[in-house]
Amino acid sequence: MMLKSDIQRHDDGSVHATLEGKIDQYFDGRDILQAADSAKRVVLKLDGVRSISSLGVRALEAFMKALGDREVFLDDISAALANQVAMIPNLVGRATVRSVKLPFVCPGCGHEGAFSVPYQPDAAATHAPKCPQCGGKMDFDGFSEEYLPH
Amino acid sequence: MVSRHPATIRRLAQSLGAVGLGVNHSLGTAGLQRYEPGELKIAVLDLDVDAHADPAQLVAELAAACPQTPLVAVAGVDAKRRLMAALGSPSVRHVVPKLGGWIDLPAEKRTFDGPDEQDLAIGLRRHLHPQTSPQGVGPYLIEGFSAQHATVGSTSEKDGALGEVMSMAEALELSDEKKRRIEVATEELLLNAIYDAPRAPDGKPLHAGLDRRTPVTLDERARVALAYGCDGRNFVIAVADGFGSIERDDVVRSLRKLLEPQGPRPQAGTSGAGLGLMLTYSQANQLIVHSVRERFTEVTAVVHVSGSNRTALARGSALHLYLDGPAEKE
Repeated sequence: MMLKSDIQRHDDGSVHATLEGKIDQYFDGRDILQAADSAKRVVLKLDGVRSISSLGVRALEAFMKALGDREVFLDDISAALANQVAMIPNLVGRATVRSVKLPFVCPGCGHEGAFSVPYQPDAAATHAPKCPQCGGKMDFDGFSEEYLPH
Repeated sequence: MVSRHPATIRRLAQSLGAVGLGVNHSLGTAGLQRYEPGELKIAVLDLDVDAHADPAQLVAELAAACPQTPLVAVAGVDAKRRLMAALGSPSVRHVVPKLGGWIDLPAEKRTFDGPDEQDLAIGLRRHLHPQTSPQGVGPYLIEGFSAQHATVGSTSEKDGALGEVMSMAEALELSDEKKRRIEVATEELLLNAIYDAPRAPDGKPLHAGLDRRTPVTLDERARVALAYGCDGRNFVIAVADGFGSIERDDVVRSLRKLLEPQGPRPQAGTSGAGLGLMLTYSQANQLIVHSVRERFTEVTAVVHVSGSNRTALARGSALHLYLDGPAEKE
């Protein structure tokens, strides 16, 4: 699936965009850059980014650079993106990652799902979600080093 | 075999025994018995015999004791960094993390288990019985298990083939993270085979400088063979080109980008970002590079899909090199 974006301009002048799909060589974020032309703040919701290719890494880096001095917040970055950022910290430039959506599994009932936690080193343990099915504390289905800052 | 950790020794011995090799064991690299070239089939070095030693030094000591003998390096402590360091020696053909050793855990949580003996035995079998044609995914699936095949002759066919691979992953109801790793590995291997592998008769790269958004149609010789399959334990993707142009140094340089302090930097410009093989390695549990110069290169990614995402990540990424050409001559 090609990358889709949904862009909204808020009353405070900020631009909020939601990206969904795969970031590859065809991504340039031009529509977001145009919408954010006079905006001082850009908020990107990225839990729909299911994959990023090597050429997408370069495209995303160029896009983040093109956002320049604007205040940029990244919300609910997907596990796919978090894994790349853990490997390539410069990937998101000066943007602030506020939260990340990570895979969790319930040790009690086996329910699996992606849940948002703050983007901080121990968040997968300190902010582990409750299972929506049985209410038990869920386990992170990964390692913090692979998805979170360290 | 050089190791001083019982669990590692057991797993290594089982792997070696499975391929019919007896074991001459030593507890360390100091004072090793000397062997003549060809006297040993292979030498296996557990880098954890001294977790504080320079891996290159340990490799050099073993290589000096058994010259011209291919080496397997295994590690559990700081495995990613130390295995990459061991790859600096051209004698090292296989680097294999111990189970649970890929993530650099604090000392109190470390274990000294060995590598997966079944996977290592497959790697050793291929080493002992070298093949001069692409092997597809067969070696990494349960014997006799069926595989899917496709030929890719253009960038649009690449997209179609990738879609077929992902349809299988989807039908198997794999988790999002497993599907993502399969997608990254498949796409990067296909992109490398389409854009980086093709050579003109004078050996110069045909497409390497092309903008990766430029559609490419491959001539008959350059068509790419894709094989993939899943036996419930592994999802395996093998991509073969007909050029055999890959170099050991290129593989090692690419994988070592994983260790760059601020992370690997994509190359500037519009050609390849130079990250493809590294990304594939980082997403796969095994990466196998098999090449016969000017005949073919086959790169195979094995993604462990049995168990949780965490289980797969903890297995780390092994590398097996079967390179026949000047790049591997000692």
